[in-house]
Amino acid sequence: MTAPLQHDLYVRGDREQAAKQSFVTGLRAFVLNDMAGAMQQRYTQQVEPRIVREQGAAPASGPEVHRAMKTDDLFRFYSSVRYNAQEMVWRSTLRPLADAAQALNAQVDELSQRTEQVGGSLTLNDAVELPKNVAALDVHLAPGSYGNDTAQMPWLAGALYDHGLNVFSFGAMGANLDDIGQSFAHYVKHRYPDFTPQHIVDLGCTIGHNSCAWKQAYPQAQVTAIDVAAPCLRYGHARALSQGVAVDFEQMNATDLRFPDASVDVVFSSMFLHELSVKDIRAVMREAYRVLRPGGLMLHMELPPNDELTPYDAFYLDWDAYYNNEPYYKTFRDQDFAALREEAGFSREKLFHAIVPQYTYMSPDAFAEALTQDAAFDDKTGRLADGIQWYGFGAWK
Amino acid sequence: MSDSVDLNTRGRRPAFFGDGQIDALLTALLESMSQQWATRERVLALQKLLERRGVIEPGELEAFVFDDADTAKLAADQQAFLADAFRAIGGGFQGLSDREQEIDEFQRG
Repeated sequence: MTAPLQHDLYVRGDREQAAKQSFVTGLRAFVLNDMAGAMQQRYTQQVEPRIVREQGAAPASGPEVHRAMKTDDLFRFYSSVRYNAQEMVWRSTLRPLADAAQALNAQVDELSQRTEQVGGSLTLNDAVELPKNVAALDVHLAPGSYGNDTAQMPWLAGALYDHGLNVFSFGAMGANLDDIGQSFAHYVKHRYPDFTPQHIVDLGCTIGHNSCAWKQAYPQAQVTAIDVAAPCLRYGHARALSQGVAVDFEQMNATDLRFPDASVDVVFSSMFLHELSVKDIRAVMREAYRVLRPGGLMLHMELPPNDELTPYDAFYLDWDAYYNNEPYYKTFRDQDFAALREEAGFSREKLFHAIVPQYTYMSPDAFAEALTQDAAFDDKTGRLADGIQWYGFGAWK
Repeated sequence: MSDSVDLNTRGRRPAFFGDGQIDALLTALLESMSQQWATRERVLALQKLLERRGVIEPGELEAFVFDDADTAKLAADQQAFLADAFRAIGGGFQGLSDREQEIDEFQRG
């Protein structure tokens, strides 16, 4: 079933629409757990041994596994069903949102009246253009991509992202889709109890679902959530107000931050870098280094690098690059993550990575206990399925 | 439903099964499955409402037996439904070139 989001902008849809969303949620869970498991078994029990027999060695990389699997019937079914399920995520959520346009408009207007009471702000900037990676294709197959809006629905891409992600994630990303933000903010709080950031910036925040988590974990800090897409920011601002969380939303490109040098304590992002070209990732890293105060923290929640994965797991994650309109999904993970940070100015001895359990799915004590041991990469790291653990990497300045 | 929203993703779809036709069938099948699921959920909701209002007793729907006339009609309808669904099986398919040639010959008289 698709669990309702916990804020005032949630649109359930009518009974049939809600039932279809639940179907898609269940379908995705089945594809990513059961079908993915069967496909992996097919690879280890049949495909890999056949390649070893024929060629004398097992596939050594994700692309080699991809070549071997492309004609396998389980891969074809898995891929075709997964692609269709992805389309159905958006189709099943777009219809009820369009039906509720008038009511949602009124709700967004009503929520914006709460700014004085709650705090936070919304600053749009027409001069910020949508970059090619957002404008040229429908990222995640979402119709209209992050820039999707209409005169009647100036927040459409944001609402679609929120409701679509809720169907997409089959309950694996937290009650308000904020488990990543909660998990990493509380990871930092537990690991570095003396660190008291005053200004936290969330890059590529989309609807600020994880920005809110940082504000909740560090209520004394100013949290600025930036993104290039105005429809997402409009919606995210209202969504944060609905939750009573003060976040400053600002239209800004992470490759060209408008913050003074050494003015920020935390530069965070989640599932963001893999949407960028390597050139832009380098620019983001340089900007992060520039705006961080000495002693500040850069932390990116991301997909794990390919050099930490088995060839099969690399192939598995590469799927999104080829079939989910995320062209940089693979090139990003092919990078040397240490080199990216060092080139930006961070010192090698101040680099780290973190494998973090899901904060909102366990008690605070169990979470703290889990952090006492350094988790290792496994086939659940960064892979959306039951039992996922989040991966992040960063550096102190 | 508003006409102002485009439900479709830009660009061409990958053909995982080669020529895309099986992929298209799978799209239709999955859409049909989602519709079937929605209908199934609605029927269950109706059943629960009827039980809650005392129109039927819990278990009455499960215990319900069609009379002979309804049973015979259902059996006949089911056979017709199956014949419709499987009408293409064993029907003899024709390659497109062969078909084109046959039509051309027909046109020539």
